[in-house]
Amino acid sequence: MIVAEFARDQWYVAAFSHEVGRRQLGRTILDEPVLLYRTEDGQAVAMADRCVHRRFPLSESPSHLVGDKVVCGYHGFTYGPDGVCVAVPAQQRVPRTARLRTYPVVEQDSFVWVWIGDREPGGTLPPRAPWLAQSGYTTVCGMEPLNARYGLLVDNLLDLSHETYLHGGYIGTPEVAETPITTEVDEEAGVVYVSRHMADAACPPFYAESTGIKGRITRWQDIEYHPPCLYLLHSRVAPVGSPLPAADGTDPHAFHVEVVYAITPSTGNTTYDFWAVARDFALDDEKVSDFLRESNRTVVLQDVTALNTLEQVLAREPDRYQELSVNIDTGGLAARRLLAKMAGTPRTEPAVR
Amino acid sequence: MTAADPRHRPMAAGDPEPAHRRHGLSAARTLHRVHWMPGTDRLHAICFCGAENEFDDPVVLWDWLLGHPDDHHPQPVPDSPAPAAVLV
Ligand code: FES
Ligand SMILES: [Fe+2]
Ligand SMILES: [Zn+2]
Repeated sequence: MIVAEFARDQWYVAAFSHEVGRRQLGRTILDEPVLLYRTEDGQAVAMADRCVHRRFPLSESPSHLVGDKVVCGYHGFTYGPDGVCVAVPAQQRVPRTARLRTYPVVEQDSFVWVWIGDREPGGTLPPRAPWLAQSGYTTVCGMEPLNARYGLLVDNLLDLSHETYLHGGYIGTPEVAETPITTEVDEEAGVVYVSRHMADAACPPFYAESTGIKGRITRWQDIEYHPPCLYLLHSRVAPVGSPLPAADGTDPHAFHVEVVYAITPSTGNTTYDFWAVARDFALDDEKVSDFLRESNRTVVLQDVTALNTLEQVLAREPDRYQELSVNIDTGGLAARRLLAKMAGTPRTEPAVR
Repeated sequence: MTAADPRHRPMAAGDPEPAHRRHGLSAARTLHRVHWMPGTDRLHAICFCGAENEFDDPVVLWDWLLGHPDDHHPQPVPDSPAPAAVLV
């Protein structure tokens, strides 16, 4: 069973920082319409994207910002960044209940995170993806809307064996599907690790063209999935025969690419697929940036196309369909278990598969 | 985290070192590990309590591993593959 419930009381990526500015942005997260904008002093704020009066979306024109306030485009109810209504058309009295729900916001590593849930986050912070906004790395990024439930994207990213088939000619080579994986689950920390280390593999165009490596490579893929929202793929690529990382952790003979996905459920069958690729080489080479941006977007769209199709298939199928899992699914199955636990889904029979 | 961060030292090819060590989680008390045994179709599961077992179905494997402490009696893994179904 693919996890269908949402995990609430969690941080989710609502947008890249650069998407949030002095124009309202509307995003639907866990079925909740969320309005995002930046106040004049640069603070990102998030609140309900429905006017309390007749429910007009505050992200839709002709709604607009006046200073730090947002004015509803239908009849002019006006709200401050704290969600409190400060003006109602043609009357002095503002009803006490006229306030929008606001969401806690954390801006970190080039993402705007919002907390979706009923309790407060307290000291809980979003997981980190520091490379995305760190010197020594150059990052390209984008977001593709997915017409599929988020669980399908989690499955997809936790099993990179599909690279060989779905992404042949970009990131897939035969070795990816052939090399066994190690999977770990830290239940307490709520993290799934999946590692695949290829000692001698073909160099796919994605890496050959960006690094300039001509021959075969050692290729390491170390996945860290922090459910529900953040997925990190530490990718290490080096010519075969290059020295291994030093004991102190430095690794000057290899190229490193940090691939980051934020998997944000929008509705029951739509998802925001935020992606970013950070590299520690050719930092100022625009051609490499353009190439990686285009290639990764192509790869993401190959997944999007496949998962959109899969969603259509699943939507027409009875709930109790028994799927088949094999060894390559070990990480994905672990992720589903953690997600189901976070979503508070009772362990029914059969167990989450 | 930079490449110089010791927590970010990737494991060597074929190195069984668990990924969590690179990430400073070596003290994790609830770390379950699963190795796909090279050259076979079998999965070797190790619970944080020391119990080990072999499987050829990852669904059955997680039922056992996350079912800790049910049926977990830390002991060396038998040489020959254990029948997976018995341990459900
Ligand atoms: S719907 Fe917003 S003011 Fe009427
Ligand atoms: Fe993919
Ligand atoms: Zn155990």
